[in-house]
Amino acid sequence: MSEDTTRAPESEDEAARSERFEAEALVYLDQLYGAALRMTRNPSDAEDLVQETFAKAFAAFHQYRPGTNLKAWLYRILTNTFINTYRKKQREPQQSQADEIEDWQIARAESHTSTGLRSAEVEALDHLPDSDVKDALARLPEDFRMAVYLADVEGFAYKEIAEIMGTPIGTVMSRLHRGRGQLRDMLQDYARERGLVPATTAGDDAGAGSTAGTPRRTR
Amino acid sequence: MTGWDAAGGPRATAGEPVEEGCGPNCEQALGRLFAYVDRELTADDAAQVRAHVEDCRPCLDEMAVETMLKELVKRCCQEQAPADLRLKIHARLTEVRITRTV
Repeated sequence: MSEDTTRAPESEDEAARSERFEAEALVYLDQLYGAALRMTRNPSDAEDLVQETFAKAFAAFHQYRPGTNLKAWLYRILTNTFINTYRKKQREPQQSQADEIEDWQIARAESHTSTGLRSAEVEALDHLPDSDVKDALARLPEDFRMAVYLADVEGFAYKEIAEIMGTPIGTVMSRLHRGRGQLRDMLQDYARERGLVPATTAGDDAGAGSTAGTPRRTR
Repeated sequence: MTGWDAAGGPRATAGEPVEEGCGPNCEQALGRLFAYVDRELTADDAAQVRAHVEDCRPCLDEMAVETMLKELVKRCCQEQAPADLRLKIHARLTEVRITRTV
């Protein structure tokens, strides 16, 4: 009896397979929809993308080997479907964003000096509304956004993300690193606009006084 | 006392901006920080990062921000698929099931 569940059942007919598919794959609907929403950035495209993903996954379900990572397999189909179908539609704004990468990196490096702001930053981030975070994510270049989403929301390992996105692990790490850097910069801006952090810049009153033993919170 | 202190540690003189953390150990720790919060480091490397941030405030703070960012993204991205999407997919699969078995 236990043998049946570990082997791709050759004798399985379509009806049995679709039942098994519903039982095993459909539990990831919410998660895939969430990912699709971040990828496409609009609910109607997200629904289409998810439907297409499940249709493709079902058509290929006989190739899926039971016992391997079904969730990662579904995400790979989702990602490929997105890239092949939707990316073309959405290409324009993405490329202009990618050009700004170097500037972001520089800004990030400079912002690393002020310790006093750091703990204030944690607090500010914690108070940001969800909509700001979603908005900032939506503004990330697509490859960065997907890497961050897969790592942070789904908790995939780098190796799994590499398989899902079809890239080397080094590329995954680079995308994560840059994506988070950009995200953080944007969220800092949002926090400032909302008055969640003092408008002072690094170097004025923060940072330099960070001798050991300084209390964690600055205010 | 430890090797980390020798590299600078959080001892910047007041008024002087700290360069990208403090020293080579910080650079190394910072380079690994995001892999650390992603739990992708080997046990040895993770222990090294932990040992470093225990003695280095700027890096500890940096880790706090990275951790918060990760949690924030996760917290804000929990979605529920619309009920009718579930129905649509279910209907599509049922359709397949019926047409194939009849």
